[in-house]
Amino acid sequence: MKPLYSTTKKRLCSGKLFNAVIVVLLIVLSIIIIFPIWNVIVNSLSGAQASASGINIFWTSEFSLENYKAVFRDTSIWRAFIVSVLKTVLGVICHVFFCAMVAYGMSKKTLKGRKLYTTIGVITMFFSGGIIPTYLLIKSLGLLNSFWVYIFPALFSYYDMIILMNFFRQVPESLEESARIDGAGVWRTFLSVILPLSKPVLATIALFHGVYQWNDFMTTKLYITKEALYPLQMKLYEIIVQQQVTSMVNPTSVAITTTSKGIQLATIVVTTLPIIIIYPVLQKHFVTGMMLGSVKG
Amino acid sequence: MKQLKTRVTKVGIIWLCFTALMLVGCGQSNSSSKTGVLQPLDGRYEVNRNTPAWQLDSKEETTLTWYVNADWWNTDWGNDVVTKKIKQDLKLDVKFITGDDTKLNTYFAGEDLPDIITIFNSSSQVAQSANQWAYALSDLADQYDPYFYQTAKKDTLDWFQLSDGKTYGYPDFSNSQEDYDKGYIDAATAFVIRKDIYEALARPSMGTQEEFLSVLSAIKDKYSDIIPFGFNEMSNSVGSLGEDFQNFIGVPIVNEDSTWYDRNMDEDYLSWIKTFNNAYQQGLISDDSFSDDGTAYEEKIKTGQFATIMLGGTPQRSGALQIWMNSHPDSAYIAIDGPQSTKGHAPTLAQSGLSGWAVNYVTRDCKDPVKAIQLFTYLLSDEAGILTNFGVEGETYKFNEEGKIELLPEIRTLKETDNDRFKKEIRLGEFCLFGHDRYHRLGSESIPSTEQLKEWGRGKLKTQFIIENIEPDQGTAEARSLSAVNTNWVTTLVAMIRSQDDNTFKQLLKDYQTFREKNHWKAIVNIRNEKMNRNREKLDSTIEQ
Amino acid sequence: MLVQERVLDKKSITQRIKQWGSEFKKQLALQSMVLPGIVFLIIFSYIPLYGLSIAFKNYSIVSTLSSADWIGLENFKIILNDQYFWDSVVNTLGISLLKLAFGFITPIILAVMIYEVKEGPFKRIVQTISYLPHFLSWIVLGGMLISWMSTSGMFNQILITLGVINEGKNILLDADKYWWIASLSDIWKEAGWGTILYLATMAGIDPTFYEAARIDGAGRIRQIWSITLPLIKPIITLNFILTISGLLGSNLDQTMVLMNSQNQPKAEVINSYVYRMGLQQGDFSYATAADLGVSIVSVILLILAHQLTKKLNDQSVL
Repeated sequence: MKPLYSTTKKRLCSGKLFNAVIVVLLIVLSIIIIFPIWNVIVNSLSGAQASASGINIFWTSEFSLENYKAVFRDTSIWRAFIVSVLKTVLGVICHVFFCAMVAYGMSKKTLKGRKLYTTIGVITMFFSGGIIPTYLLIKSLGLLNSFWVYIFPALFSYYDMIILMNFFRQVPESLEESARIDGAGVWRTFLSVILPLSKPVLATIALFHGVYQWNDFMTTKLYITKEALYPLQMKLYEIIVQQQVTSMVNPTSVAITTTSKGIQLATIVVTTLPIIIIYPVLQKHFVTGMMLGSVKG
Repeated sequence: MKQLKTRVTKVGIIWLCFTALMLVGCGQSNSSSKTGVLQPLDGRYEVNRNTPAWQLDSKEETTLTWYVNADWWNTDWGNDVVTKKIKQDLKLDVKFITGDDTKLNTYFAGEDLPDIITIFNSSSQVAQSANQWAYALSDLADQYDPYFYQTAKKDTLDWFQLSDGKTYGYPDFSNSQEDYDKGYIDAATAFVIRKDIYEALARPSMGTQEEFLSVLSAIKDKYSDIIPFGFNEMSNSVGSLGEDFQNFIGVPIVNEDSTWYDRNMDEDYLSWIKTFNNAYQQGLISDDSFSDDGTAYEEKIKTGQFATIMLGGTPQRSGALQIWMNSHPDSAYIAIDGPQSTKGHAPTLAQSGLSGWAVNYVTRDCKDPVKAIQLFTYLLSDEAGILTNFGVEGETYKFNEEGKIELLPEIRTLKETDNDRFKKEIRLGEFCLFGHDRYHRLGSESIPSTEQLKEWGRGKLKTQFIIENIEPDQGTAEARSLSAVNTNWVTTLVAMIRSQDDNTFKQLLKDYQTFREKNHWKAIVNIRNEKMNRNREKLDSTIEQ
Repeated sequence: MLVQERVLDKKSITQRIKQWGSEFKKQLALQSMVLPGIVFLIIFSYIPLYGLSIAFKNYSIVSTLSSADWIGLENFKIILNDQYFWDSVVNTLGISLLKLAFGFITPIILAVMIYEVKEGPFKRIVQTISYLPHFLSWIVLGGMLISWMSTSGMFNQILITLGVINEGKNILLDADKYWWIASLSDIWKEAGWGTILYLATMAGIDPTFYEAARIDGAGRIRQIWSITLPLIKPIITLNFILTISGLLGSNLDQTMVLMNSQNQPKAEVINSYVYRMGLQQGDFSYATAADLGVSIVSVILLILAHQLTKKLNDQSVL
């Protein structure tokens, strides 16, 4: 997009008012959106008294890192972090490649059996057997208490496949044609022409699946009992729910220095931060147009 | 469309084939080990009536999987003072698993149960069908560890008998008549008022409905930014204005002919609800009390925003009360007599009864039932009661001059200053799956914020064994109806308190009654009466012996 | 059906299979890409489908799938005769339609606006901010909304300052406002996240299109209307189809947090009702039957929406 905007000054000038309106609108929207998040961060950095009295709106009068100390006191949190990173990275690579591969095949209208495949796929978007038979399946596949339970069952999603397929269909026929003339087979075309051209959509699917992998703790809750395989979200889920045990079973020991709400919020900040940082990294793929690299350059 | 239809048929055929394959595969699971017949000890040790078997058993290492049907349970084992000691004594490693009903069902559906199971509803289908998947505790005790009968309570064992006459599960916090009589149990309900306000208004009485309203009005006039009257969160339950308040003004639990009494329709109770309605109309109750969740409610206690509170579950709120007390010692909440029955009933506060809270089972898939029953015996002993509440003598506590248990200074400091480390390394008062209230008495410590509340409640507790576990069984039409009726009652009760005139108030009540009639109400009452009869039989047989 | 055809026209069928087979062989490379996906779906999505049999059984928490008794359509009868269930259907549709009316185009407008902003830090910051609320769980957000909508909360303060009202009222207790609260708060949370797919698609648009339009003298709005929007149409269509088929779905977490005894008549949605009646009561059969019913209706909606968009677009996106 960059070359376009920098060379088309006229286009931008012609819409000065238009630009101003958009910028103002976006600023207002951003403030509305950021406010509650700011609230979460401020309260997570606040001591118990100030956060309990609800006076922390824009900043806190009682700055304290106690909540964060409480979250990081559990040393196994670092191992959980590594599990999370591993399952997210590996999960995303496998998922994106697998979905893209199927999507490329499905994007060809001449594919034999395409209609049958579509029906098979669409049905899975609506019907699921539920937790119990899935558990039995995972068990019979020997995936209980195995790291691979994070990767295999999440390998494919028909929804992601549809998005990729629709994107691939927009790739100009001419590009594939020229690859074929150069003697490239289906797989070569897919790997060396389609994939490099589809960075924006691949980045999108990677983001979607990455966020899923990062946030998912149901898989752990259902299939994993080995603590060594707990991801960050599971650890922090435990921290949150075990806050309740104190007040439930042992009211005498409710901590005075940290409120459970404060720890909850600190927990949310700690778990969310790493995945939020991913976005700016992927962002450049959303703004680099796909045709720039091929047709023009 | 038509094409899609044929495709769907084809997919259907494929799916049927796979299903058939799967079912064939699944159908051949072995159930040979699940007959409930116990293996003989084979000379592992000689059972002795007067010695706990864990002291005799020389087996070196055992690992048991223990499923707890609650997500908040701390799954650590052997890293804190309490579980480290249990681990040493029993030479036992425990792997805790936590989850919810769905997770529990996956184990049943997979026909592969963990060794020990703890659930939290003694009238659930899981508990009722325990004779199909758990070992009878008496069988285990007779064969492996007769000392069990010395640490387990007979009342509790009798109460938990299933229809085959055997007991399969053992609960924690099972309070018997004896516990009540000896005053081991503290009240958990109180009507509290902020001390400064109470004094400023010259210690007014709030017993009659007129007094109640006039005191609240006086509070409103004098303290404009304080909410005159608060109560437990009511966003999705009746909070403390349901059963808790009914007990507070002593609404009976049975009719004169001993049948189930319709407490919600009690005249005395409804006249108080009408009083709350008047208070609402005069702006003495905040609307937010009906939408706040538990956290928001506690935040308000922590910051002293209520003048008076109908407080249910005081032990659970003691932390919040303590925070307020620490920052404003002169304004702490104190219990007063508060609202009184218009019919002269005395308060009949309730606490957990024989049914207790968590119920523990040894499953028929248990790898080492010998060790499991030893664990039960151990955890039910007085020694374990002291261990889980106070730790190890010399390490975490000592006896003071009065013979009461006192935490060592460094342990207490740790508890007060670094609670998370305390929980992780010491874990006192938290390992509660076999815990009982009676041990709290041994300690010298008290929570300042609730001490006066407990004192106030002394002698006002009454058992309600007869109406424990009397709801229709899960999954029946009556259970579904009852759930709808209960939901409707919450909506009705709040709407009644918030109603703007008498007619609306009366109409709401009438609508609720009509709703009940349409939803199997008679059948529900019948079931309750039947179950009360069964309870009565159990209780009578206990007394006879 | 297959058997019948074969008897009627054995020869032509065998011929057709042969022909089909040879074409299939030519596509072996393409098929080798698609078939792993199909095998995956059969293993992980189709095999567990036998679990749906729970809907026709008297299944309890201590049952195994083979031990529970068949009871036919009994569970469906219970659901269909349940007044509360139908109330929850009405609420679900009400909230979903509001979300469709206001929430469907919001991400599109937002995406177009972000797309039109000049490349630079401002654009990147706005984009990042807009997607942040997606990461806040409803537990936290719900707690905030409850306090903002309380009698002395932020919303009432603003309204009092503006002179719209004299005295704060608890907005969440007002059942008539609940549909709006549910749909608008959901839009607010997810609109930014919803732009991602559109922005990714827009990034794929050939910039020369705009250049040509500019030379033709087309203004900015005109360019958006006749270049940007038509080119993201497949994704819009896809989202539309999925939104329509998801009309009976709703946000369970949101409902559980925001629902209270007074707004319940308007707040109870299918999800929350099934959750409370089914899983909290240990009644798996009821829950499975209700979910199965919802799935069937959803597929019908999907087919209808798909047919409709296919007619309008002359192209299938599935």
